[in-house]
Amino acid sequence: MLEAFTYILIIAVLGLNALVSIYGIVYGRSLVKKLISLTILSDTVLVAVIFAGFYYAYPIVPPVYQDLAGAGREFLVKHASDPLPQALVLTGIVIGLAVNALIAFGIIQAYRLAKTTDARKVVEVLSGVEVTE
Amino acid sequence: MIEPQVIESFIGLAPFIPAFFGFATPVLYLAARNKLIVFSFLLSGLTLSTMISILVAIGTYATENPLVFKAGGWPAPIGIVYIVDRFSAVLGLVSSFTLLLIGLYSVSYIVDDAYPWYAILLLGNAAGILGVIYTGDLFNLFVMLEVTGVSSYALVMYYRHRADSIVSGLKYAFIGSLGTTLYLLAMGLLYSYYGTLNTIDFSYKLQYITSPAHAYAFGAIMILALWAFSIKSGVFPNHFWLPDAHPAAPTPISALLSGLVVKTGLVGLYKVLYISTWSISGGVYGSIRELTALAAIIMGALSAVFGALLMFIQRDVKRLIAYSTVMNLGYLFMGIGCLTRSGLEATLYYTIVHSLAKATLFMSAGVFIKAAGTRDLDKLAGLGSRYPVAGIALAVSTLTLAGAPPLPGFLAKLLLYEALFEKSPVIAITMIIASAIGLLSYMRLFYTILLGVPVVSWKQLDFKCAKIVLLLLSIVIIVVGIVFLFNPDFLSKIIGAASTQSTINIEKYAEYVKGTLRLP
Repeated sequence: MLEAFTYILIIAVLGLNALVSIYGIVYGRSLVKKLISLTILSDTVLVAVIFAGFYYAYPIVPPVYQDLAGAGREFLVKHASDPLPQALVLTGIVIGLAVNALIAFGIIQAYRLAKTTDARKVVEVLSGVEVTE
Repeated sequence: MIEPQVIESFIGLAPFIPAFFGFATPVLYLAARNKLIVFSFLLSGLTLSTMISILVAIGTYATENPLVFKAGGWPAPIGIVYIVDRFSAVLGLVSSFTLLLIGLYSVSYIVDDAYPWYAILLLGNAAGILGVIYTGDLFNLFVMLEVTGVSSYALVMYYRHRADSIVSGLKYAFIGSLGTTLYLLAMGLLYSYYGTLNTIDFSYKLQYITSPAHAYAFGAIMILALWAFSIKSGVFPNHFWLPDAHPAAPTPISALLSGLVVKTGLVGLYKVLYISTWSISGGVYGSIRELTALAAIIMGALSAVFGALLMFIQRDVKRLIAYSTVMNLGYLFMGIGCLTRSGLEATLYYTIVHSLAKATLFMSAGVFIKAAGTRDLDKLAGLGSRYPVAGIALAVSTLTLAGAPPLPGFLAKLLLYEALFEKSPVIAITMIIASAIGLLSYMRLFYTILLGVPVVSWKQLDFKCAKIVLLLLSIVIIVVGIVFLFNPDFLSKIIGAASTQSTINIEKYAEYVKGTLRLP
């Protein structure tokens, strides 16, 4: 009962987070707030992936295969979380770091050029620029 | 003749070599501080990856079966596997060849101080594109999409003192990373419901894992993947970033983005709709797969019509070409949504033709833009006769994209029309209408630049490398057109064999991969 409630709660919270952050990315006015929404979205997805590999069975053991004889294998399979989603999340975090750093640089540069981080005003400032190349 | 087993071990090098050269470039730059040395290093990296992709293409046509490379020797569902069939081998060959020529063109086009960054990002992009094309693992596809994506965002922002490129790059980065994040969610769902990320393993698991919950999960995976790939490819309704981002970049990068990077979404759709889900026959899964393909066709049709209409009203020459990309990717999505052998054949041939012609068109327009110092189409009038090589390249590429008979665009459109007509006459007629509207814009471009009266003063350019590249690309396009049009045997042996392998003989393909990887 409590377990089912927790599962539903986590899924509901993740869904709400995802909706709010997608709204922020699409309709947000400030570029910085858009970046924050993007990080919230990617973290939400990463938590969802971790949650996909989570396996609740007390006592919980780390997913490290030690007993090569085979007696401990069944215990490990029953009590350890799946490590592969964690590897996926690790990859996702590293990639997300690169993208976020690049976008943050872009926002700083946009602020230097247009003196604002408001997405619509930036476009207005730029509309008069003559493009030569 | 080299054994296929030897060639298989080279597949992993195709994405690795550009990445290695990319990481080595800063060291070389710090030691040499010379533009010529950095660019020759870039070109040697791209040449090596082109040679490997030629080797891989020869290998796939030497055997009936696809080539399989296990990264680090790990077994399949756990380790990353590269599966190269004929479809991906041909696309990889065309992509790496075009990348090499784009690199050569950049030698004369990039004149500012930031060239080492340019070389690093171009090599990173090459690694990402080749990885997307060769991979057989759906999570590795995500990683390679992000590698391609990050380097593309940075390349769009290359002119960092110019506000329009920064803002367009930011728009592209936000929408692109939204798409890849949704794809990551799809991968999480895929792993939690099916316990695999390998394309072939997934296709076998779909045969016996069935339940209502799995049907919902499969639907969600397909929708999220289609949405992510349509963002990557710039197909309606996710096309809005493309006409801003592609013109804002330096011209060789516009050619790269319009010719190759947008194809990553298409290749991803091929891996999801053809390789991963071939085993489905009927049932709930079957209808979900059919609906996804239908959604791709409808999005493609709308994209083609909107792209053609918006292309007609553009004054900026680079935006005009960017809208032509929206239109052409619409055609390709329509072709890949057919789920038939003829649809895949048309898609493969059209992709090759579009990659070459769009890169040529952007690079020849780049010469005129650099000469006149403006992107306004009316002000570029008559410059074609001043730069004969670029003028010829522009003529060849516009006529190819418009579909004039001796050139390859004609056969590509004919194949696509036949494939779409088999599916439904309505879609085929939509394609013809979009094509007719597009023809007007191509002819406007052709007549204004080649036959118009000059209105602005131009400066003389020393574009030796660019001239070589444009001449070479024009010759390649003409040769491809003539060889395939007048020799149907050649067409069926290369393009036809590739599409047969991935559709009709797909069961044999999957059995072979299953046996090689010792899948359960």
